[in-house]
Amino acid sequence: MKNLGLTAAQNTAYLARLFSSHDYRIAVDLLTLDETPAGSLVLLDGQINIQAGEAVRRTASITVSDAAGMLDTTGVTALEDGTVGPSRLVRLTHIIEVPATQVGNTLVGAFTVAVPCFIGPPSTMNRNGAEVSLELQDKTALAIRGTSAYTAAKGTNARSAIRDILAKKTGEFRFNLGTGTRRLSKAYAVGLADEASPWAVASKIASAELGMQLIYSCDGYATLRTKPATSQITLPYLTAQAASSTDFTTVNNFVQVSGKKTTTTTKTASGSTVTTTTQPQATSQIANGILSPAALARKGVARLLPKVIAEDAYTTLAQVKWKADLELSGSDQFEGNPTFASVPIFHLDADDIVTVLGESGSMAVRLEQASIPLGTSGDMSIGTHRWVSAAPSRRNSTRTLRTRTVKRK
Amino acid sequence: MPTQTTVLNLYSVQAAKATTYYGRPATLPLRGGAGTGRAAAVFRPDLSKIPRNAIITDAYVDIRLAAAASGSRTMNLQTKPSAVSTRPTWGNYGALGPQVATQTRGSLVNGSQFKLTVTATIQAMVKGTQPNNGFRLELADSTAIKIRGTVASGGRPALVVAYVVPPVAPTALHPAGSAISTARPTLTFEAAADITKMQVQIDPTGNGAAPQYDTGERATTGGLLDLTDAPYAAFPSLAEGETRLWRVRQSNAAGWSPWSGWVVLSRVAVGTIEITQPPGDPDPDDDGILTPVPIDDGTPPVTWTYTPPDGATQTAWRGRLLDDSGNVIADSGRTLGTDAEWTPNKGLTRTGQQGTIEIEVWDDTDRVATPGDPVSVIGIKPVYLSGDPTVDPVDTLVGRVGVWVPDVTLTATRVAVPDYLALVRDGEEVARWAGLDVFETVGGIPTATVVDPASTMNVEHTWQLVPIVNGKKGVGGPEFTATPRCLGIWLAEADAYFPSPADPDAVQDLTRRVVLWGGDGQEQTQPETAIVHQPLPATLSGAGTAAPVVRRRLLRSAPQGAISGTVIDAGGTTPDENVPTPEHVEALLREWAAADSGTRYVLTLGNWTGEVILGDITIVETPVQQPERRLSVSMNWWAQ
Repeated sequence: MKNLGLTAAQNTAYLARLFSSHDYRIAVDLLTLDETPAGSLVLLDGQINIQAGEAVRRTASITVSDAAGMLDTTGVTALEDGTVGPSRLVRLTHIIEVPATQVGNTLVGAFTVAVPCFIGPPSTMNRNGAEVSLELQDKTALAIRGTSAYTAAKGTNARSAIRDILAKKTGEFRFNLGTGTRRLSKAYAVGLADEASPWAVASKIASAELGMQLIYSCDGYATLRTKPATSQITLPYLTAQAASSTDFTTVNNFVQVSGKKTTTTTKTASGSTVTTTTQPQATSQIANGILSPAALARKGVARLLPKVIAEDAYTTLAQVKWKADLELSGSDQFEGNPTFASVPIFHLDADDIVTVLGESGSMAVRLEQASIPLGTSGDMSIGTHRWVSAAPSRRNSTRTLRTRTVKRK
Repeated sequence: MPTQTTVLNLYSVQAAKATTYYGRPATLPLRGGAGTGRAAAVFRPDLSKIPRNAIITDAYVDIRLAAAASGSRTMNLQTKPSAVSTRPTWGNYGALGPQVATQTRGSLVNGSQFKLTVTATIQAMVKGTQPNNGFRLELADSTAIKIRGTVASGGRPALVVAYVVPPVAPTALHPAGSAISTARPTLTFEAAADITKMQVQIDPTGNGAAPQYDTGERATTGGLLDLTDAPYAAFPSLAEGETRLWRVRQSNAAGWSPWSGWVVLSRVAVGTIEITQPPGDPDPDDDGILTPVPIDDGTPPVTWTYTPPDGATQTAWRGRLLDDSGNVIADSGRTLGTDAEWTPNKGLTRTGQQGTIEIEVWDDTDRVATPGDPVSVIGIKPVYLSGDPTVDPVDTLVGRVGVWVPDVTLTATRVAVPDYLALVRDGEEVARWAGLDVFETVGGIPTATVVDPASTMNVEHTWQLVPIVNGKKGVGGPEFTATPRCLGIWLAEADAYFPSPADPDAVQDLTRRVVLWGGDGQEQTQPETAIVHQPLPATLSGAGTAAPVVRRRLLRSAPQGAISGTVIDAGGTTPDENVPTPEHVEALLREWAAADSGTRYVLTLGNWTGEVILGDITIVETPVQQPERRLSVSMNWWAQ
């Protein structure tokens, strides 16, 4: 979550203002790639989307008024500097005025809060009459393609290496990396392959060398941070009951993995031919809980929800057992994706932890996905991922299947 | 403040097998007392990454137990006078130096921490006054305990060192070379984040040994020194044209940085500026309180006199006219040249309205701005639009409201034709014509006829025609009050509709407009810009109390809408001579449909009149009985 630079009392007043009736503005600024202003647009509607786990974690869809046709790509362009294209960035800023407020014993004077809640290049533009729809990606999109070679040498300060990679290979100049002495344990190379893009390599350094996250914060700063472990904000109330969906048909309670068959042939002293075939096999089964075969039994007949895998890549008992456990652990619980509706907040980032107050108490929610409306089309939605059934214990068995064929002379 | 945590290579040495090398196990026994059961540990920390000039603020050896123990234990740490062997054993770890740390603690559980403070010892080792030959860790008690070792999964032994280093010499000294204009400037530099003190020296020759002025050591939290502050009263003020050198150093908890290099500090005063036109002294009492001076015209010609310092000349200027709220009405922008006059292209419009004329001038001296000392000089003069009662008003004023058209025709007479004639609607000047363009002699009397086609329909307005003579605008005069009404939807090219007060010589062309008839249900919308968030009821919210409904309103766009109507050609006749003919309307609409999409128009739609841009203009001809023609026209509009 972006630090807004407010005092504690101002922050309290700001959040109280967000959660009470107010007027607000969304400034849509068109910037050059050097982030100098090149024009402004009038927002009609739009939303910011946050998705954790993606390289581009923050996207936005906006519809702007372009009655004068300044963004027209089909004909005459009235303002060339204002044209949207790959050489432009779009910045969205949420602005509200906070009136003078009493916070505890402190009188907080009136102030204005302008939260830069998105900055990034457009990915698509569609015109429909005087309305132009823009799909935007955060500045990560400028760094996720491969580029010319660059190597951060072993022993380089890790934070300096991240800064150098992004500055020298993408031209980034807005950093919030902090300071530290940790040095690279090995060299890291940027290259033409997307897997070696500046962002991929810089993120790898952040996670592998520093144990931190590298993100573009909502105001467009390349930011190093420790993945939040505690709640950073509490939503005073929700505007709808939590929604969730769970699929009961995609679970398994039994996995069987069979490995590669191996055949050996020997001759006995009597001249007979003995052919022996062996195949490692392992099963993993849920032993208890609501998904166990016994719990799903009808008239005492246990019900298996099996998954059967035959894969020659596994040649040992240990390998098939590992695979069986892995497969079962990924499908032995019901998965829910609860979402919560709230009045919008504009300075959240993916992986932030938000406390929501629900019917049965408070819950800390890691923000894995969110849609933050910019216009007046609805509530903010934040979502997370949860297992909604208890983790069961498992029962394993392994064996080697053997067949022996003897051909007598 | 940097902190370095180094995992220690903790070697186990045990008396029971005095020649056995135990290496660095995951757990180590410690036991004191006597006999062959004794066990200790030795280590030599790596201090190479701590700068030699670092000041150690805290250093301790962090040891964690690997198993619980009863009672309390005392752990001691001794230095070693000779280096620890690379394969230390009980028999070869060598002599011991003095004990440098000890700690006794009880309640010993697995993971309990022993924190052996070695700040002074590490400081001496880093500084080089004491060799780093390592340490021996031992237990004072004869009952053994187990501690976690170098390869333990967690809680490894560590040396934690917090230190500070003196800052580097300050950089980015400002000013440095370019001139400032004040005798006691504010000096700034880029300071270290942990700066605690600074010292500035100023000397004409850069003599650091005996500087002309030395601030001495001053506590500070940033790189700024204002020489007007009381502690620096002894600073001899810079004389006009004088040049000196200055330098600075800074300190933090670890000590002082080197001095920065000397940089030039020179003073060249700025000139003075006097706005001579419009006339009047806004501060006759010289008490610093400015009183607006009257101006006869909302866009008064402005002249000024700039007196530069010796040897300097004006290189650029900028004129601005601001209204009484500080909003910029007219701005020349920064203009290169030695001009000394400027006329705003927009001005004050209401009699009595206040504003401020601001003239900014730059000279050819190489200057830099410092706090409170800009590189230019600004002269201001507050004004208010008074009108001039010596200018005779028009003698008569007659108005006529159009029945079919949105025009209000105003006819005035005046004995003498004025230079200009201003149209004032509801107290605000909205148009201006050259007198000779609109006055004709009728019956021997100069008579002016002008048209206001852009008033809001169905709303009562008051009009005046105000003469302007020799740059002086009259005040008062006869008024005409009426409520204009019209039929149809009117659109006109904005550029041709009105000569603005700033461009009175423009020609008003009332032919560049069209009218559409018979449109039903004209759509005019203010896009929905608010949302209501309904908090969950108290019983579901978990907050215990019900929160109020929240209404959030997005402040954004102006009105927009769609209009449609018909153009009927019933044989070339029109209901009024001022109503454009269908042929003219069709031709103009087709011209507009192909025009630049940024063209502005004036739309009169019901009781709304304003500037708009148009889009999606569609013209469809509907078959009707000849010779009539019927065009259906539709378009979208957006207010500007």
